Amino acid sequence: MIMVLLEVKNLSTHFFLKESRVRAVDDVCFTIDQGKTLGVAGESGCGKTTTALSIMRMLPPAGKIVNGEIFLDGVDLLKKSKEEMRKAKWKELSYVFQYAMNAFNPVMTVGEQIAEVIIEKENSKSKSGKKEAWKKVKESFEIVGLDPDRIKNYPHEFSGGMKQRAIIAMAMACDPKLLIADEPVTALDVIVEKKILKLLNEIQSNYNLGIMFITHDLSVIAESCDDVAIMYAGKMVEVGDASTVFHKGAHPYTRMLIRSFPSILGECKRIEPISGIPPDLANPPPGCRFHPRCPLATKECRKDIPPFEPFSTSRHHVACFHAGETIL
Amino acid sequence: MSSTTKILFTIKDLRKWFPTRTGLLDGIRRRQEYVRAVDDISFEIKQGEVVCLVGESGSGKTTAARLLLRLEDPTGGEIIYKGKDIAKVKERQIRKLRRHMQMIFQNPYESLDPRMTIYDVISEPLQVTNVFPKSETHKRVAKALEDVGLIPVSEFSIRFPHELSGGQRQRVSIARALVLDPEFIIADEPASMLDANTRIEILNLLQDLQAAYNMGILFITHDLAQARYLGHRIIILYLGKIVEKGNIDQVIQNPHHPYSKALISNIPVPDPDAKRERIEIEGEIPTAINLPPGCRFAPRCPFQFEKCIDEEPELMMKDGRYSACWLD
Ligand SMILES: Nc1ncnc2c1ncn2[C@@H]1O[C@H](COP(=O)(O)OP(=O)(O)OP(=O)(O)O)[C@@H](O)[C@H]1O
Ligand SMILES: Nc1ncnc2c1ncn2[C@@H]1O[C@H](COP(=O)(O)OP(=O)(O)OP(=O)(O)O)[C@@H](O)[C@H]1O
Ligand code: SF4
Ligand code: SF4
Ligand SMILES: [Mg+2]
Ligand SMILES: [Mg+2]
Repeated sequence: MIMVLLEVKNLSTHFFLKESRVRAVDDVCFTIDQGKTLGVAGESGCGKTTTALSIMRMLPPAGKIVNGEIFLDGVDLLKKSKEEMRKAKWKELSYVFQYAMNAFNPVMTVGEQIAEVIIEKENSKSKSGKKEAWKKVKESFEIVGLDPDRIKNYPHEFSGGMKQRAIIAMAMACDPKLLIADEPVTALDVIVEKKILKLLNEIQSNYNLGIMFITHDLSVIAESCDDVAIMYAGKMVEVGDASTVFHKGAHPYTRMLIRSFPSILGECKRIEPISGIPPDLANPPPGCRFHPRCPLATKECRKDIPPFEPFSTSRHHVACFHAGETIL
Repeated sequence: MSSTTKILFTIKDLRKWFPTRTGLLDGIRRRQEYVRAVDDISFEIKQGEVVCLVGESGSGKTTAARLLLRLEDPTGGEIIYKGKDIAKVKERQIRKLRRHMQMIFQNPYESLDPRMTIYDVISEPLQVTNVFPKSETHKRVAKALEDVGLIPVSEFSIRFPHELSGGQRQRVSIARALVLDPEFIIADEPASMLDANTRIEILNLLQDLQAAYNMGILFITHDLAQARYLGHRIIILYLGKIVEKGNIDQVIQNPHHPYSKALISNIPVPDPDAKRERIEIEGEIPTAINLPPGCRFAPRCPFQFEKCIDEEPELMMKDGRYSACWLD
């Protein structure tokens, strides 16, 4: 039986600035099943990182969750106290944040930095606790395919791919149920990228881990995710299993986005980009946020917000009044 | 492209070795060691042709590009620009030639001076080189802005870089390169940091400008899908050496060299149901110091045999393309 691990319901997160309110995440719903990977894609600034930070409750001061519920294994994370949430981080859910590779402290060894997290989380500052933590550091190195003899190395002694593995090792050190990985392969070469993706898939099946995989690269999602969520301007526009979204995508934005990826397979044709620019989220257009750029837009789209509803199957959700209609 | 097309660059055995830093004592005890960043590479670039330089991080792509513009002094070899070897000519003469050759950099967030208006950023090369009469400056800047689609020109002229999106900033970099009417442009990963839609916009822009002005472009990328989209010919580098070069479609559809095969088979494609055979290779690209006597790819090559370890394969022509492998 498929068990839902994470359920995000009607999440809205806004940034309250001096003169405006940025509606970065607006009424977003999705789920992640145990042992499955959900790939979240969309243009820069569409709210992917803000969604992740909301789940982790790590928003910057201007960011506030104004509505919604976030259930992890049936428990609403938004109802947890700060202290409870602090305990849950790394142990229940962990986060590989965007640009994390560059965030290692250069004057501490990689192993020390991972051990520090474990010691804090397990609350084991005793001598035996520390010993146990170092044992776990070694294990976590093994999990991600790094040589355990290198726990005493400094970050600059690691290549980009090795640092990214170490970041994943740190995220996995306390056996979380959910891993949120924000652009974990973006700065890497294809060969290293492929290895990291394979690693994540292996860890996932070995530990029945749920993964939220954020990237703006749909090719990477196609390679590694079970389900796909497409965001546009703070809204979830389409969610479904990878095959359905890539081959039977029903939202015009999804289909236009997929078309805008050059591929090394098939014919090499000129690709036309989606015209226009994403809206200013402090001042989003009324109705469907995609309407100024959508070839299918009608009067209704300019007035009403399309509901996020099941489309071809109960798992496939789309927010569009003209879902599935042909784009000329 | 006809065979009578003018050749812009002929590169012969171009070499750049960087001395590695050694301690005082090391210098006495040991021979000086070198990073062989670019190690005897030869190729041509014709007018109106897009040549793609592809390879993993550290393979020597940027160093090769900097050598062509003489931003770096070569350790050896020839750089024949329109019949004249510029490998050793003096800086003053190079400066005169440089207006014909321009470079666009990877990071649109770092490559523009934040204190300058867009007008100043684009007119700067005109001021510095002084090749066109001052009275033309305004007209030339306006034309460059128009060419890259930053319209209305009057509005974009007075903005600052931080007031632009990543894609718009990259357009500014391109305008800055265009303003001197170059016949040759080096674009070093100009679209890799941008999201899919903006990336296609920039690639299309380069394609249009290249055709309109019949420019030669050296397009540097680690993304073969982008290379295929824009390029006519491809050069694949591994640790400072060319492993394969030829017509881009031929190389991508039927790579000869084991490294090219591995690289191409690991490129993600935007289709979750695509069934592809993967060639896995061990480890990550090492640094080009202390290279083994034989084939530099041997330590990671799944096909290596005895000869590979003793003797270095030369670049050989076969079926209309060059590759450097004993199996070929
Ligand atoms: N601290 C902040 N203050 C104000 N606005 C913010 C802040 N952080 C993000 N935003 C805005 O919220 C929106 C969503 O940003 P977010 O970082 O979630 O996008 P993203 O999808 O992760 O983009 P990228 O692909 O570039 O990482 C953007 O419009 C952004 O400008
Ligand atoms: N100024 C320098 N001094 C010493 N070594 C250098 C210098 N510039 C580059 N190198 C070394 O030369 C090799 C090639 O570097 P280069 O920057 O040309 O690679 P690249 O292919 O452009 O990589 P990337 O994809 O990461 O940009 C690397 O090992 C690099 O560390
Ligand atoms: S609701 Fe209308 S404007 Fe929005 S995506 Fe669908 S057709 Fe386009
Ligand atoms: S020469 Fe040998 S080691 Fe080198 S690529 Fe060919 S088979 Fe592999
Ligand atoms: Mg982000
Ligand atoms: Mg480079």
